[in-house]
Parts: sequence; structure tokens; C-alpha cells
Amino acid sequence: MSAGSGLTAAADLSITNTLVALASGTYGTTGGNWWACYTTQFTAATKAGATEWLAASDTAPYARQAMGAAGVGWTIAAYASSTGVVWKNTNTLTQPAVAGTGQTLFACGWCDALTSGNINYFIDLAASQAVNIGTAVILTASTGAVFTTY
Amino acid sequence: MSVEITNEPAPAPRATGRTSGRLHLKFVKEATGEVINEVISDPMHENERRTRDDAKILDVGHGSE
Repeated sequence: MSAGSGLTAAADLSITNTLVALASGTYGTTGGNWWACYTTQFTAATKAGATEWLAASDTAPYARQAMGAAGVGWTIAAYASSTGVVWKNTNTLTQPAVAGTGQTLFACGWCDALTSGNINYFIDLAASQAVNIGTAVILTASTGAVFTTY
Repeated sequence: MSVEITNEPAPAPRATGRTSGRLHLKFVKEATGEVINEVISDPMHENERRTRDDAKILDVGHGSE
């Protein structure tokens, strides 16, 4: 299965429904989005189904990290010809250091709620990365996650 | 005369008309601040590069006969 990135399959559908003003199944904003870690890929083919880290079991004190309310966590450039719309994380974000059991990281996703909710977009890693106890995963400002919509 | 189009296949995903992302993560030892691992992932471009490389291999095969 090859690595993928972009909108999840569910987001593809709900945004399409929203654009054509369908009565149901449209995308509903929740006022914010959160960065989450996954032990499996979403994959280019399915764009869904990744397994998130769990604070309750083996990666305490894992928690999704807030990007900021109302999209302020993202720097969004206006559409440019041959480039599209580029949007990237504005600030450095740090996951709490793993303190329970060593973990693996195979994808990052962005959700519309601190817990549960929907996963709207993601980026897979090409290979699973070990994250040992005492190690924190960092998303560097402006370069950590860069998306292009084109 | 009207022509009805049925079962028209959807266009295949292309490099444009979609959202793609590039990830650059650092793994830091909390106690010391030391960066112990750094990973960059650019799935769409990696997949495209792999496709191009496969095409080159096919080209070589044609030329070597």
C-alpha cells in the first residue's frame, strides 16, 4: 500500500456535497482543528482507517494538539497559477513526550475535535517510525505540515 | 436526436484537482532537547517519482532488445 496525503475519503464526499448545496451529508465546521498521531497509514488508495495513538493504553499522556480556533493555526496563501493554494502550520506544535510504552508513528492527521469527531486531512509517512519513551514529536513552524490544493 | 450519456467513467485522479501534503517531523529527546530523528514525507511526489522511474525502466527494456 503506498503512502497518501490530502483530504480523507469522507472529507472528499462531504465537501463535494457542500459545494453542490446538497441538503444532507455536507461538511460542518466545528471552529477548530487538532493534530493527531497514527500507528497505521491512511494509504493513497483508501484515505481512511488509520489507528490513532491512545492515551488510555500505551502512549500516556498523548493528546491531540490544537492548531488554533477558526483556522488561525494555518498560514494560507492565495491561489497562484501553477502552484495552487498552499497552507502550512503557523506555529511549532509538540506532542507530549511518550511516557507509557514506546510507540510507532506512520501518519499524522487533522481532526475537527479534541476527541472523536472527524479526520479531515492527513499525511502518511513512507516508513513507520519508532517513538521511544521520553521522545516528543515536533511539527516545526511553517515547514512541519505543508498542504497544496490545486 | 438526443444522445444520452450513461455510465461515463469518472476521470482518474490527477496531479491537479486535489489536495496533497508534505510532512517534516522532528523527534526530540525531551530530557536533553536533542533531535534524535528527522523525517520528511512527501507521498504524492514520491509516488509520481516512482511512476516515472518505472516508466524509465520500461523504456530501457524496449531499447535493449
